[in-house]
Amino acid sequence: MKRRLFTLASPVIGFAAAVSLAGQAPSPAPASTQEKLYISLESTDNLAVVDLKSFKHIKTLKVGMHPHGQASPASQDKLYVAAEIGGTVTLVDTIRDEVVKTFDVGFGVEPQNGAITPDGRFLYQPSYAGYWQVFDTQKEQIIEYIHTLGIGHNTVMAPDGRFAYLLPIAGGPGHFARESLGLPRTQPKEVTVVDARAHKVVGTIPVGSGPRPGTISPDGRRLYMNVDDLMGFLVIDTAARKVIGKATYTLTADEQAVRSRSHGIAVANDGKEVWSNDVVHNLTFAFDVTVNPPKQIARFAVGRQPYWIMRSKDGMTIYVSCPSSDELIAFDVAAKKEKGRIQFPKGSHPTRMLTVAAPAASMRTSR
Amino acid sequence: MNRRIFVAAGLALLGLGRRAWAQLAEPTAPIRYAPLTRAVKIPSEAVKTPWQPAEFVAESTASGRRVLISGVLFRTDTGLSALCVTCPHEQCQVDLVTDEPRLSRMAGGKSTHPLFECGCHLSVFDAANDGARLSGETPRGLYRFRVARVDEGVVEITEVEAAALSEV
Repeated sequence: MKRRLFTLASPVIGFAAAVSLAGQAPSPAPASTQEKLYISLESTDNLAVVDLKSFKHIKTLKVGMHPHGQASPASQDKLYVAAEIGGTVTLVDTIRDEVVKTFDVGFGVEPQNGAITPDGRFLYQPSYAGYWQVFDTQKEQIIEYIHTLGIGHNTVMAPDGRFAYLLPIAGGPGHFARESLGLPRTQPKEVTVVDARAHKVVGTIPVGSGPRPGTISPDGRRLYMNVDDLMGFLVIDTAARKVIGKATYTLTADEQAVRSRSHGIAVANDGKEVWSNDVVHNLTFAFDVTVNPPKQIARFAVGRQPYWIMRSKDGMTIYVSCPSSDELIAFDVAAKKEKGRIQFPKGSHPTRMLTVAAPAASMRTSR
Repeated sequence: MNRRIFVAAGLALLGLGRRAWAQLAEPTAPIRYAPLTRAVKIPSEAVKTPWQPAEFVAESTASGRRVLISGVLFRTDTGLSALCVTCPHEQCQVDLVTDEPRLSRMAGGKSTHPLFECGCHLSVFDAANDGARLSGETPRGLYRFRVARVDEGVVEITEVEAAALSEV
């Protein structure tokens, strides 16, 4: 019986493993794709397109005001970009790198960093108003609101699309000054786990501090997450829904005397490494996560105030955005060396980004 | 009513009450300063020209912990100003912005003098008014240093706003 179940389940597991979604799980890009990085230039309301083979800024798209997070389904032929000011989400065709349309369907106060199901059907779009909206991309309407008590900010989708992990920030007075649409907001210091098929909350993971950016291992078993007041990241067992480890940056005495925070995290090297930013000290760290607690294996001086980290589809290049110095920096994961740097125009403020393996025009697959 | 929602609503009301009280209390509360471990000394010549920044790092302690605080000294139209360049929102560094195109973007062309801008979340502070908050996520203005004296061509900074020590 067990063998039969395994046999039946194998293709499903295989398919799930092959799916790459919302910049979470590594998967090699087929030859018929062009790997690109889309990065929000917040101060100019633009989305920059970077060709990753040449590592050149090849195009700039005008999107919504103050662009924030992006999400792309497994098909990789489209990209959704949230705009904080104006409360819209813009759909981009990643094959032609053109804006298709902008959804203005009441995404609430300042839509933030969402994630999308692998099939491209449901976009989990958080709002500062304190909840996540489930946007049905086929019906082009919001079909569900998920309340977390926190300030909606970052979202991680499981590689198989089964669960969405909602990471509300604790927030400060500025965040609480926003309208809540009558819903209470506290500082819950927990991750909310949602069944991404039923769009219902199925659990929470207490993390002890305000959740910050997170990412997930290729097999979906580990969630790695920055939190407030931790110079490093937490390791979460997604099956047990509990924190099982903590990685801490090694800092000099002078660095320890200057308060900083961790913001931006990505899995690299087939899930064996996690890279994470130290904002105020202008550093990025690499950790071996095959051991617990994770072991620091590299540290890099980057640009001013690193903000976000994204990996290439094969997980062997890491990209770090530094909005205060308008830079995007590429690191060779195997060699642990910087391998390129793009300087955006002064004042662009490059922040959130996503790598996409855009298919050739004849390969369009999803709705 | 759902118990979780009920408890959360109560906590939210409590939080709002505390914030309202803090806002009411703030204007009358005098600023408390804490001593630096050693005085910061900067030649007056370095800040002779208005808005020319002289950067420094000051040292103090808080609950036995050594604290390093980055600051900037500059001359305004009315005198010297020494401010902490760490944004009170999330500890990012702020920049003193003097170039016209960027100032125009930040203040919609309305500012007649330089402003500070946070490098992470773009909060804006008034450089001519002790770093007062103008816009953005920041809950307050920039933390201040106290200039103790200007003597024999040297500006001496001896204290920092006490609240900065637990926040930067």
